[in-house]
Amino acid sequence: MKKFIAGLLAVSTVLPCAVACGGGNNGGNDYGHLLTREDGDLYVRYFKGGNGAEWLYPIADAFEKETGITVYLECDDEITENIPTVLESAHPTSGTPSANRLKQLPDVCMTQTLKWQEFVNKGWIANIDEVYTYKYANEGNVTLADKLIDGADTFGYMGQTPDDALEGNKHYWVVPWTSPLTGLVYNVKMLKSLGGKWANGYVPATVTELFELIDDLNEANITPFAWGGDSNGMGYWNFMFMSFWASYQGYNVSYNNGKAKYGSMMDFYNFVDDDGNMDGNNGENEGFGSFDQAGRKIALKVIQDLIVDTQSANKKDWKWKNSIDYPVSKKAQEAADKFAFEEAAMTPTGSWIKNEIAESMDEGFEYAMMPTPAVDMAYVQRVATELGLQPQEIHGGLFTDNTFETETNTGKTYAQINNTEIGDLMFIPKNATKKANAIKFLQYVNKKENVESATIDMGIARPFRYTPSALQGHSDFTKSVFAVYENPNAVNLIRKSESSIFAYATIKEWAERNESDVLLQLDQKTAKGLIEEIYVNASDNWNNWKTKAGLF
Amino acid sequence: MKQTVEGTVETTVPTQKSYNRAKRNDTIFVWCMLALPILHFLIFWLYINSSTIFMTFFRYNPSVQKYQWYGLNNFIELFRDMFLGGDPRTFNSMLNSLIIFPVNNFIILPLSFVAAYFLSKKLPLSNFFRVLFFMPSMIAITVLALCYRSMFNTDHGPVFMLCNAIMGGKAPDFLDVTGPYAMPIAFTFSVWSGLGYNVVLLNGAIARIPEEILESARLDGITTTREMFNIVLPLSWGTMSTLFILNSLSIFGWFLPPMLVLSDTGGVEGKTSTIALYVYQLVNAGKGEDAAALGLMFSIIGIPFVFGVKWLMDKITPTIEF
Repeated sequence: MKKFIAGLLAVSTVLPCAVACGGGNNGGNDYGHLLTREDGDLYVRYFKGGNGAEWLYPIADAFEKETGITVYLECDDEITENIPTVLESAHPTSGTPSANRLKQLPDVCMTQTLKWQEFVNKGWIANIDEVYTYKYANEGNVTLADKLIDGADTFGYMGQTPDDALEGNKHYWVVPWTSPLTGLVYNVKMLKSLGGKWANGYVPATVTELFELIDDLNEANITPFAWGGDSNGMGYWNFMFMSFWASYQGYNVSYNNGKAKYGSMMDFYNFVDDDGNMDGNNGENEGFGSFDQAGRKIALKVIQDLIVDTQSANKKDWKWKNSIDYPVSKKAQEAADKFAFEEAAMTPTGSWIKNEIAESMDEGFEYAMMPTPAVDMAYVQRVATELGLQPQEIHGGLFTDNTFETETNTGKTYAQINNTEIGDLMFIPKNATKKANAIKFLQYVNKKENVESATIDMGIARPFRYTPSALQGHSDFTKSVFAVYENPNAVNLIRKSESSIFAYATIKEWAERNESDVLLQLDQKTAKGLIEEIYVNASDNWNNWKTKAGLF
Repeated sequence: MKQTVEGTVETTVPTQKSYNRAKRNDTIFVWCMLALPILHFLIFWLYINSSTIFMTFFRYNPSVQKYQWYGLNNFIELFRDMFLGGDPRTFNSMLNSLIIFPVNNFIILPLSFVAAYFLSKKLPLSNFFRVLFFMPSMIAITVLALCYRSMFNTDHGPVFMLCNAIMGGKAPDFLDVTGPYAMPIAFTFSVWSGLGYNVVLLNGAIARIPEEILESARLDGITTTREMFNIVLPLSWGTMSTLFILNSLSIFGWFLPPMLVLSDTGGVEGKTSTIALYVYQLVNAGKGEDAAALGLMFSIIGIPFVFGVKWLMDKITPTIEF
């Protein structure tokens, strides 16, 4: 009886893990040996999420066979939340960690985006220069740094302390391992069924056209958006926010060569002052002025106009519109399922949706990703008064020739803004017991053939200089993603900066606030009011951030 | 004493040496028994609390990669956030933590008492109801929260669908963390999941009441209501008082219901957060100093309150022995 109960308990413990993380069987190959830990194994703890894990099994298996280094793969979808505690306990400020602590410390961590710069500063992760400078003999002796796309190549490069950064004493610490494209994913048949300009698969190129599409969907009694606001799910709208913001503000060019508040998106990430000094102290607004950029107000206003009914003068009567019923309490997965069940025509998400809805969609379900519509002059003029824009702030989106739409500069092609959300990371803890093998593993994972096989299995690009669409075996959806991703005229947003405040105080778009919290208030506060709140929050905390960044 | 072969009894007087040995053995035994609790106290209370308090006066400086003296600034910043509108999240977290006090003591406890009293009356199916009341305490809280949450799901939740039918299709989204129903839903979950524990303890207390007292009251023609409030309540007041104090202490650690039923983010501006949940999130975000300062500051506010409650309960608890 005891044995029976023990067996039952073991099955009930292991089964949910196996179901959640995959049992290690892929295409008829048995990778079960990778999921059982033996002494001497290289311990890799990874986030599966929407990326799937199928790509990792064959690579780890081949690595074992080629190098003789055995690997233990542990799926942990909570790794992003848990890893700070794991790292902290394995890297005490004094003394050495116990053997048990070290046994629980992964040799390789694969997480979602997190504030990894803090780990560098606290000495919790190892410098992996050897991974970046390793020469791939079969690929013409290129290094990982050579193979990564612009922006991704220096994404994981920083000084351990602010002084190190100033002295140029920088190292590589993390490898970005995915480059998922985010934006609006749509139901192809639904849009075509509207007829008119949408009949042949045309998708909105501008925000004004997006509103046209929504009107047409409403007329046809089709719910435009499936989205979920629960547990940070609202953050999916932040992907759209980023693209709209960059479309209006410019990524690294600005309208009239403005700076700070009137500067580009990169001015924001560099926290430049009115004179253009990074983390600057000069000018009316010091370095936090860019929190008040008009592009941020416009981007938030677009989202508000898309999903909030603000007709009433009384804000208490504002309500969500153009959305599935009761969206706020839905999780992102529930929203994705509703999209797959054809309860809505579009959903804000990323290329990982392919894996999320694989089991919920019918066989004939056709879906694709559209390029995020550009912010056009007509829309800006319509909302300018409400947002309190200055005359020099009334212009349209960025064109491909790096100029902006104005009343006289018209008729050009808008730049396509791709928010690629580079940020899923691989890194090695400093006290990892098998650091040398971990370095070999990271070098191996980034071999050309492994990058390509991962792309096919995940359906998500990796941030490398290659043409993912040229690989065979992609679904129609993945092809649509890569068509947007590979547009040579696209501007790819990567959140990186040389700023110490960005690196050491780890401050991003929403100051001290959580992005989901801000976006969830769109049915209660104006877009202008919310951005101004963030601006005040930034100005209040500015000195604190500078202290954290070692600038005082 | 020892029995001799001849059957006579020879008395042995304990020597000073054997007395000392026995005393030493006693001392060793006592210290062995005390060692574990003392060690536990030193490590898990003294060391942890003192290092937490110590941490509140420091702040991590990335320039030197060390914690540096920060004086009372952590507390000043926290005070500004909590009471001067600096961060509504901190204030809302405190408010929600304090609200659990009346929920625990003025809703859950009276309900538990009434339930325990009727279960003690050996009514038909009382054993079944006893199990039913205790069931939420036996199921893992994550599973319980999942079941509870699904009752309010806007697609298939039976409670939501019932409300929707009653309200003509206009039922609110009870799980909307920005709406007015979110925290009441979390408190209701606390009531549901918290009844069993209290009922079991109170049932024990009621079962200890001598049957003769109740029988004599019944011979005097006492009604059920008077029996419950005039006989059973005073005689089980000691347990009620203990539960009241324990429930009051929960304001410091209450965070699972809002986290599991609503959202682990604490909602917009902390509307569904509590102090314990906020501390947990601060620790996860690598802001250990802020977490320590918040915990300590809330303790400074809460401990006198809990002591006040204890003093009050001691005052009003009659000394009854039976």
